[in-house]
Amino acid sequence: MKATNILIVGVGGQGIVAASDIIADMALTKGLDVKKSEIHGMSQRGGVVSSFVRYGEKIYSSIPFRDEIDFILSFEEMESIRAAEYINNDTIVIVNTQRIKPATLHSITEGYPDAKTSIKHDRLYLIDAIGEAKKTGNEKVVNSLMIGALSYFLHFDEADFMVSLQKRVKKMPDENRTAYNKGKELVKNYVL
Amino acid sequence: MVEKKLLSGDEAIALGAYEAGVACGFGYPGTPSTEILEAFATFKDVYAEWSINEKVALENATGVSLAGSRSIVTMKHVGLNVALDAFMTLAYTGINGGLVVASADDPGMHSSQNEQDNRYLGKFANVPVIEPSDSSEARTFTKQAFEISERFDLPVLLRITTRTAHSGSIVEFDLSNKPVKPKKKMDIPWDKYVMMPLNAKKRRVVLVKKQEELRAFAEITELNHEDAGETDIGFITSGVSYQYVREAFPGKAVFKLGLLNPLPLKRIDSFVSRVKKVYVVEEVEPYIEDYLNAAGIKVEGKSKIPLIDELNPDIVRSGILGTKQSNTLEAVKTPGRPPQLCPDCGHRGVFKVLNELKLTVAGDIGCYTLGALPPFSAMHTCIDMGSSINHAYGIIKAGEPSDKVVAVIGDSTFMHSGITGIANAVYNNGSMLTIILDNRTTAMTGRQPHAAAGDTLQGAPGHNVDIEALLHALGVMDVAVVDPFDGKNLKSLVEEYLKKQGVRVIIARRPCALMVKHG
Repeated sequence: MKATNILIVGVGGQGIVAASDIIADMALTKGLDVKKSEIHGMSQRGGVVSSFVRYGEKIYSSIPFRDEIDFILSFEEMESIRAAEYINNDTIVIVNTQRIKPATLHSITEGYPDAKTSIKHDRLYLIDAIGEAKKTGNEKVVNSLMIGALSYFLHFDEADFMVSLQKRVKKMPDENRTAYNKGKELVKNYVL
Repeated sequence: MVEKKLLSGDEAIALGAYEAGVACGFGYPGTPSTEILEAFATFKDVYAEWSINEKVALENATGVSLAGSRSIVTMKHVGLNVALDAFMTLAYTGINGGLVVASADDPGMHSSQNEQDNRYLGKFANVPVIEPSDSSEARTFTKQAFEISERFDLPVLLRITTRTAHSGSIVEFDLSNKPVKPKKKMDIPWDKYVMMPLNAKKRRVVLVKKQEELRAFAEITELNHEDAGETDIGFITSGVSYQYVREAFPGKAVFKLGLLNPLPLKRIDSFVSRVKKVYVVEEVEPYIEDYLNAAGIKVEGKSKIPLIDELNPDIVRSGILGTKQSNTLEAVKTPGRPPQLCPDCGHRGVFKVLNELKLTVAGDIGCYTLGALPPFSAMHTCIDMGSSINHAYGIIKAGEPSDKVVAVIGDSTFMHSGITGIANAVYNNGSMLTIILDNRTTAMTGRQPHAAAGDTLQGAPGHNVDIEALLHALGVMDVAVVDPFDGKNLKSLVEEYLKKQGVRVIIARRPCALMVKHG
């Protein structure tokens, strides 16, 4: 069994670490070997955050080979572009089109790169996850929505998600469940 | 009941320490080591504290050990420099209850000022150095470290790196039986612990003798093991590099070291003789490579593997094979996202003022080091904890005008090692301005309380040191407190204090914005 390699990227404060914990836990629940690796040194101060999650029969390194990433889950549009060097022909790239202006840019419109034109890749799924999350009245469920979007391609179902979620997040189970399914649906519509 | 959890290396060390019956844990926050003590503190019936600095932490732990209980001390790699005075001679005296120093190196300098390799410090001190390669080993090696400490009557250095500290992997454990806390009889023979030359000379002999015993132990311990495999090429490695080797070269023979000091020379010699070409794969310095070559075991390493930065499976594979493999899109130039002082951080105002006044700013270690970056560009030095005050002092002693120089230091850093600098300046008739950026916490590492702010690590109300009263007691004549949000007042106060003579201190006090938000 080949390992599944996921790269999760975003900006400090977006919950990248929490999302990677939940995804790793879903694999653990399935009885698989799991490793994850993240750097969160200065991320609290608005820096880039990235996390690898790998699972399979036996995992050695928590960092995969750069050209063996199966999925990139980007919580922020520009961060998906920064991750371009991890995209191989088969990599599925799911992007929340939320734009968070880096301090180095003066305005969000000027110089902010566009993912669709910057990433020359077919399997690119640009979804307005933050917009959909806001519709529910609580944008915090955006994490569950993104995990749902990823799960469309994985052997995880709603029950796996809920078990892992509730180990860490006690609040708003129904809202998170709805968001998870909404994420799946967004990608499904994209694929169809 | 056997539990199976995804734990970080730090959490696994805490678990191992708890299972080993550790009574007390001491440490000072420092990425990537902080979470060890935070996790340990959550266990029932243990004592854990943030000590004022790493030296104090190690000496506190030594007291616990003398009294016969087990103790763990946690710090980042540079923290061991602070504790080194205590550490070096503790190897001479030895211990009573097991004592383990867990110190986290930061290859790649994700959040550190240097990339020092603490395996050398363990070897320098003549103590056992143990290095796990994932969370499961972090747990079991920690337990073994306490046994080794007591068996050889030595402190043990448990060396981890950022990738083992902060990576998550599966750990199986069973806490249904509460760990027993071993308590030996207090035992402090004066000729073992009073390190006057008379005794120290004898303890030096004992320490050298112990090295022989340790070398024999290295040859048999299960901390070191050989993965059998193809022998056209083979590897000697340790820590997280082991995982990269297994990923990059599946099926090849690997000698994995868990005990890094001393090395099992006989076993390695035998391994090397059976493998056609042996490479040492290790991060940062050529510690293993030089050790083996000096012992006459010819191996190659740093000619293929970089000295600088972390490794990963790609670097290991391409380094050894000399070829790059890439079937991915090319990197796209993307605007940077440098870390920043929080938008609502009250202390931004201080750096705005320092920039406007065009001062030479001796800085220190914490979030506020980001004041060196645009738009503030108002910091010129940041080398080690507490150095700001002494840098400013020295600059002025060299003849630079004291109204053009300022030291800037955070409250936690001031308590860690800034106090002595102020005392030194007062005594030696120094003349300089220090600004203490008092955000009531240790913000950079995740808002840990400290001696002058907040409760204790385990939630008891802290009897906090009063910084103003402390400064007055040290003999500082001019002490002012200001809210850095009040920009106008702040600027005029800084200007006024720059013109004064003698040692003077402004405390810019406003709680960390994140603390206000998240508690």
